[in-house]
Amino acid sequence: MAAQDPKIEERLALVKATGLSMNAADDKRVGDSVRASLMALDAVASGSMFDTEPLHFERALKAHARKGDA
Amino acid sequence: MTEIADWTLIETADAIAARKVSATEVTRAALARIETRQPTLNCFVRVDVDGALQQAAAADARQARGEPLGPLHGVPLAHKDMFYRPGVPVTCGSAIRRNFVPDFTATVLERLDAAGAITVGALNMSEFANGPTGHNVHFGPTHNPWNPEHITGGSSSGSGTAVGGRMVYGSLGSDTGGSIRLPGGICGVYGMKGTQGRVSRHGAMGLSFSLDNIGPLARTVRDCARLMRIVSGADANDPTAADMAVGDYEADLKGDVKGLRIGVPTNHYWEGMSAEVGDVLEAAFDALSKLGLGVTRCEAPHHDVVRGLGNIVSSVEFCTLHDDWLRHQHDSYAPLVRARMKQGYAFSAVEYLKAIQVRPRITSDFVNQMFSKFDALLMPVLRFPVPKIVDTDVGDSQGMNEVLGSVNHCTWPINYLGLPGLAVPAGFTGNGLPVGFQLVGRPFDESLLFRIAAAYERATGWPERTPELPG
Repeated sequence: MAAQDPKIEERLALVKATGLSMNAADDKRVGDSVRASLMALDAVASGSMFDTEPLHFERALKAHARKGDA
Repeated sequence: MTEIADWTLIETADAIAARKVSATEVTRAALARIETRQPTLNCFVRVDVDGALQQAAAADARQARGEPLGPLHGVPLAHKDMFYRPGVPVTCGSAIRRNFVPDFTATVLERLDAAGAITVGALNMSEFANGPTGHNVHFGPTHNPWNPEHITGGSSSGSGTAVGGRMVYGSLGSDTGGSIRLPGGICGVYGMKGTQGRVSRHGAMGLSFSLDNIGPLARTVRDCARLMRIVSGADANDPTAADMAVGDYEADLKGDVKGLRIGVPTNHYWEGMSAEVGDVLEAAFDALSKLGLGVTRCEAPHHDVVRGLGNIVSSVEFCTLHDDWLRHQHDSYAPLVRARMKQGYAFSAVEYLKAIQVRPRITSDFVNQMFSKFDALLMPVLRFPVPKIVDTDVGDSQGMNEVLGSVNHCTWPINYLGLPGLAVPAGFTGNGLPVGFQLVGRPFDESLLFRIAAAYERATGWPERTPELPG
């Protein structure tokens, strides 16, 4: 159960702190979703991000355009 | 003889330009078709009969005066009810915005207006574009034109049905996780989600700043290509709109496809594939092979993480836009929409920004790995036959995430990657419902996707089949 995982409990507390009502189905759904998403984030963004460049998604897209499109 | 409402967008524009039919006759035909089919399909939230006829009369008058005609002169369109125009209500499929009236015009509507299009009304959609099936508790579900018991896909549900049901010649939708490509593939029409930034979002309702895209749905590749060219390009009112040149997509349709390499990722997209949809897609591979394209199975990198990363980005951004209403008008949302939003509050700012920060690296690596070997990728739109409305009416039940996640399983990753994706009609399953695939390309390579789809359309002729509906 999502509600028995202390890390997920912390996340559910964040949602509840907004004042929004949460039922058991919400707890399970939010817990499952958060767990899966954070696992994905840990897989690609673990460790220091100190040396990463500033945000540049648009630049990355343009850099990969077929030559002649720019 | 084919009825006017069954003509393609291009045929209709050509016939008006050649004075074989007037804009008023075409608009009356569309309005008559809407009147007959709307009770079955529920794809319109508003039909503007008087306004459409006034626009058509003005178009005919311009033509009579010998004024230059735009590429959509006199062609009736209708769009997802989320594009702003002064004095015209825009509900966004919601109760909260039921009486909202904007005071400026969306850039995409300005561009369609300048091209001569007629707007006949506004189309049903998932509430605030949140939901991949086409359900809406405020306006009722939109019904699939091929069988009204089945879903349309969402969130541009009305767009898929109005175009697939031959009520209008084209439509604009929006796509944050598949909302153009799902109703495209599920309703048997084309739907183009361009590269992130390809189309201006000024004056269009937002769902997720980083993942939203505006794009057209239409019956043929050429129809879709014409609409996409008109709405694409830089916009002084939208700094996120890319300043990249827009190709002549229609002219490029005639280009050769022989020797092009198509990659078919089998991980993620093929997991849980139904035999019936798999057979239709195998037939599509054969058709493409006969056209001289190389079709090769491959592995798509990063698909163990893109859903989760996209989920962080979209849910936090959705909460950001809706925070005030969610706290103060909580009960005005459908239970499903409310339930989907809550998770956005569970992520920290640092986690959200990490998910944004790694995006360029993941997309770059994906493009380098995939498009060094292939010119385009082919994935299903849906891995199973189009389900019934009643079977996907999950509300905020325990299994909501699983059902909705199964519907947008194949379209969702492409938004985080920011790549262009074109839904292409590919045949039908035994229940008579359409099957579609999506072609995905490198950034700003929309033209190549249209070209491959055009060759496939010429070889298979799928858009020539029409649904059996009253009127």
